[in-house]
Amino acid sequence: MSVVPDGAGADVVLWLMLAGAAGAVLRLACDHWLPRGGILLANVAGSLVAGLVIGLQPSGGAATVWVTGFCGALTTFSTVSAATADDVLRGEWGTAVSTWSLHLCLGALAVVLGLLTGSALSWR
Amino acid sequence: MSGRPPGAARDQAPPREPLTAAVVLAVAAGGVAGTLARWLLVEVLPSPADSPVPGWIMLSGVNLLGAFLLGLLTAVASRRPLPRWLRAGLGVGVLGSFTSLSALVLAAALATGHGPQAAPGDPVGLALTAVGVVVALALSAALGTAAALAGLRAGAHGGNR
Repeated sequence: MSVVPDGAGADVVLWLMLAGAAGAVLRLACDHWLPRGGILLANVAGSLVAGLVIGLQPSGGAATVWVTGFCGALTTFSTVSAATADDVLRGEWGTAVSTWSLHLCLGALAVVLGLLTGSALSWR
Repeated sequence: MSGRPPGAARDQAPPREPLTAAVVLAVAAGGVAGTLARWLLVEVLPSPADSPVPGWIMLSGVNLLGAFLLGLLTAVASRRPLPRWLRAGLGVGVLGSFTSLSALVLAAALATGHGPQAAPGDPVGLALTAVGVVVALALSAALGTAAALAGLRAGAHGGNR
C-alpha cells in the first residue's frame, strides 16, 4: 500500500469514510432544520473541532479521521461559493461579502479557539 | 406526497420537503466519495512531509473545482429536474464534502503560528505571514464565488432558463 501515508492503514481509511458520511449527513441536518444559519453553524462547529483535535496532538490516524474526515465533510466551501454567486447574480454584492466574512472570520476564530483549548488540555 | 393545490402560486422560498431515507443515504454515500477524493488529492498526493505548500495549492484547487461543479449542477438541475436524492447526493454529499472550509481556516491558523508546537518566532515575520494569510483567504472567497458563477454560466449555456 504505497499510496497510503504513515499512520493510515486500511482501518484508518475505513474510519475516514465513515467520518465523511457522518459529517455530510450532519451538515444536511443542520441545513434542513436551520435553513438560515445551518451551513454557518456547520462550518464554525467543524472548524472548532478541527482546531481542538490538532491542538490535542493525537497519535496514529485520529487526526486523519476527525480533521480530514469528519470536520472536512461537515464544513463546506462550495455551498458558500454557490450561495454568494447567487447573491452576485441578484446584484446583492454586500450580502456576498458579508456571507464570506462571517464564514471565514468565525471559522478562523473557532479554529484558533480550538487549537488553544486543545493545546491547553494536552499539557495536563 | 400532498403536493400544492393546482392554482397555488410558487412561493419565493419553496416549502421544505421532508428528509427521505433515499436523500440521507445518497448524502452519506456522497460524503464518503467526496471525503476520499479530497483526502487523496490534498493529503496523500502532495507528500506533506516536505512542505505544506503543495497541500495548500491542492486544497485551493479542490475547493475551486467543487465550487465550479456545484454551480454547474445547480444550473443543470434548474433546467431539467433531477430526482431529489440525486441532486442532494451530488450537491450536499459529494461536492459539499469534497470542499472544506475547516481545512482552509486550519491551514491559515497553522501558517500564522497558532499550531500546538509553534515556536515564538519573530514578530515581523509573523505579522507579514498574517497579512499574507488574510489576503489568501479573501482571494479564496472571491475565486470561490467566481468559480461558482462560471459553473452556473456553463450549465445555463445553450438552454432556456
